[in-house]
Amino acid sequence: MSKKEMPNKLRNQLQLFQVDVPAFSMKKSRLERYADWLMYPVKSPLEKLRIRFESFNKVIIYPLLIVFIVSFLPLFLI
Amino acid sequence: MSLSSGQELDKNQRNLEILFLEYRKPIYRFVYRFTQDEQLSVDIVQDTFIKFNKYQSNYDEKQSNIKTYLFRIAYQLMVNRIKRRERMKKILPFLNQQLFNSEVTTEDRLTIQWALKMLSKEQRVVIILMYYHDLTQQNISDILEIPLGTVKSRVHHGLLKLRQLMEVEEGE
Repeated sequence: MSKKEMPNKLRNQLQLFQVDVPAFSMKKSRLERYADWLMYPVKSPLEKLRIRFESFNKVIIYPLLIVFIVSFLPLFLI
Repeated sequence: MSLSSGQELDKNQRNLEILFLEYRKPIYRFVYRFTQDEQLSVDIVQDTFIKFNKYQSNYDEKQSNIKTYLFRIAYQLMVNRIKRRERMKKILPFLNQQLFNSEVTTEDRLTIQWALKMLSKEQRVVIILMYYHDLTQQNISDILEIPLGTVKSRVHHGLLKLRQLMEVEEGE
């Protein structure tokens, strides 16, 4: 299938993805690249530990669950 | 009259700058539409011209046109960078993740950017090259260094999936 044979609706939707090209030079020094790498946005590794609404439920439920399991475990081991 | 090595270098440099002005935008758009990462796209464009400058003597204009050649370099660099990133992600999962990339909202769905991301890398690249860069399937086969039949099959399956994702009916 060629571009012309594509459905019109799909062609129109593909047309919506326009890209603005920023100004940049042909070469970049290693220092600039290193600076870009350092400044690149990343996800916080502590994200998983952040307090959310459901965190309170976990704080309450998990210890109860552990106590429950530990107290009933001997029954299965006898 | 032959040119001295200094003049030759100047001429090469000027040619390179002309090529850069002509192709930096199409190559940037190609890489950006594939990766949707601005910084990576800029790096790839710059690396493409650095690599072209380094291996200019290997370029044979009888074998491929300059656009195909530059796109091939950019594609190879992009694939290598993505592989390196994926390896890095496995080692340090919190690195190289864009802040707002993780959660897809319902508004993001059904946008063409989202749909292109949902395609496999192999399908995405052929769709982008064919639709946005007006390259023939033969050119795409040269850029990706894969058989023409494989390009045709990837275009077919890619468009089918894209239509399903964007909910476009067959006859429209």
